[in-house]
Amino acid sequence: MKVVIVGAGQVGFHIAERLSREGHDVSLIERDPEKATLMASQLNALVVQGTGASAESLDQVRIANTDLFIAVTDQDEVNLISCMLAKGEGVKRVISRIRNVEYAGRDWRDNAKKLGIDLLINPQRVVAEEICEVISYPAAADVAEFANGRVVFLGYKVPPDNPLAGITLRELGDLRGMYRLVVAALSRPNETIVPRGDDKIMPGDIVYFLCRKEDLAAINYLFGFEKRQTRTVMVLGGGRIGEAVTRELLARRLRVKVVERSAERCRYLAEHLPEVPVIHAEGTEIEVLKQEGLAETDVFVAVTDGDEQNILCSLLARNHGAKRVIALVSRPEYVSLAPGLGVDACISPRLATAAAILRFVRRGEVLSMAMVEECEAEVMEINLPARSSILGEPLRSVDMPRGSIIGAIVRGDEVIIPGGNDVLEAGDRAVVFTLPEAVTRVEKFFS
Amino acid sequence: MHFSKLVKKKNIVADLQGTEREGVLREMLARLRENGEMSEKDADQIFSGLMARERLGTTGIGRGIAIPHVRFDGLKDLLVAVGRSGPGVDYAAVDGGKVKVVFLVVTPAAKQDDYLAVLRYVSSIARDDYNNKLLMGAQTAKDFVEIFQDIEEND
Repeated sequence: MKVVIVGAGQVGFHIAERLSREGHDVSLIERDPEKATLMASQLNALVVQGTGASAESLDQVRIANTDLFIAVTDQDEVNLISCMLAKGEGVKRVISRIRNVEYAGRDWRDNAKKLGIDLLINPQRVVAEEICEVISYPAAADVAEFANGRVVFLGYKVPPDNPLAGITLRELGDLRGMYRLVVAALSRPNETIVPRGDDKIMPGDIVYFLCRKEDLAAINYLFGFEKRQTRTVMVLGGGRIGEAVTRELLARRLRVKVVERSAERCRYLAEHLPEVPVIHAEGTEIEVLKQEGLAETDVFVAVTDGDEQNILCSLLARNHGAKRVIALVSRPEYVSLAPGLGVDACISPRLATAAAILRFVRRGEVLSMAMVEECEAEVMEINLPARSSILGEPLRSVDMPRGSIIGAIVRGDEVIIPGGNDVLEAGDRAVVFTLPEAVTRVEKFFS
Repeated sequence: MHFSKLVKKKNIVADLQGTEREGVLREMLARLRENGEMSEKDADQIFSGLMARERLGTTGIGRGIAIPHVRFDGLKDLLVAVGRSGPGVDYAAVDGGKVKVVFLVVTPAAKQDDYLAVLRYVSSIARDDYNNKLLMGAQTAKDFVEIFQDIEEND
């Protein structure tokens, strides 16, 4: 597939790296000469210095033969114009990131259609949805649903006193009669593995598993993950993301309080969200937050525009009794750091946006996809090919690419959480977990 | 796993009278109470806990076996009781079949490790063809004790 990406910011770079590693023909247009040079040295891609909104740059990347065009510069207008130009040149699919809610409001789908843009992606919205998803599964560090919500993928941090701590995958397998789950991965500070029989779950690991949604309550019961219900949320930062998160949470009938440092923004929120208490304070004014019920808060979400602020304030909130803390973290270096510090879940706008774009890119052969924040692994729901040597073989003798595992099989109305004796059939769909280095091999394997 | 030592012979009810899940759980708890393993109040609480767990999903794991289990901090040690029904019990088991052997497991939270170990042990012997056959054929408390000892010796 020929892909052109405009804008080598975090999202652009991430997608370019990802798609070029998967063997796609990637070109990148970047305005800043220094950044363009840097990108050329770091990526296996054609890098053109210029703006995406000019015919010249588009000529240089031979736009006419392009399958996919992704505009992710920091200027909405540039993104929109380059997408319109690209579409005019006959590019099959064009994607534009839009930060300004005025362009990406409720009627954004219609606007996109009018402009010929296949996907308008709004990072605030993507992030807000992701945060709410994580909040709706108490104690989870990562969540995604597959097979129309019948299969769930979850990541939980394993505390030292958890029954899972110290047991091997084989031992866990003994429980399959009663508790059916497939452990897809164990994530530790410096590595993520797809575990086998003798691998041991260690305290502090994040354990990622797939199970049927209907079995989740029992699984949570056994492992003691889910003891509390989420009722109250305190949102630190009443900016665009904070507002979007608050609206999503209200829609899910949670009680929300917003903490915001700017008086002007507080007035705006009070006016537009009259049912929400707005507290005019800094995230570090712990006495004020305590008076507002911090200690009784189920979830504290820090979504200001400063990573350090979000991480520190969420740790502070946790120290003062917030039961679960979630931080918005943009810098890639911090995303893997934060869980070790005691932040329960990290949401990265870069990864969330990139994941939403990749989901769209993989549409077709892959039905649904999720990305795991901490290790950049992917979970994909894939239609199996009608004819393949992997059909009819018990899974134990199917040679899956290293770093990947089948976590669920969807066969008509039935969902199977497979063991070694289960067999894939024509017409099945498989939910597959894969580490980043195995994505290409997994896609080939199932095509 | 010294499972045979964990199950006291007096806590094996070899002739369950009940025909459905609630009845047999009460029956087994009544035996435990008579044997001085727990107070009446404990038994009531354990019963509610077991039923709450069953509502999340049946512990009738198929092939004639059920493993109802619950955490309960009122006990000092992990407690396992065994029940057997000749005609079988309606237990809403995953395979739709009747349950003939019930392993009831109660653990205080402090004994988490043993808890998982016992559940693993029971569910793995129940799924083993040979051992399952032995369990299905057991008639008396003595039979069960011998089976548990045999399995351990051959392990």
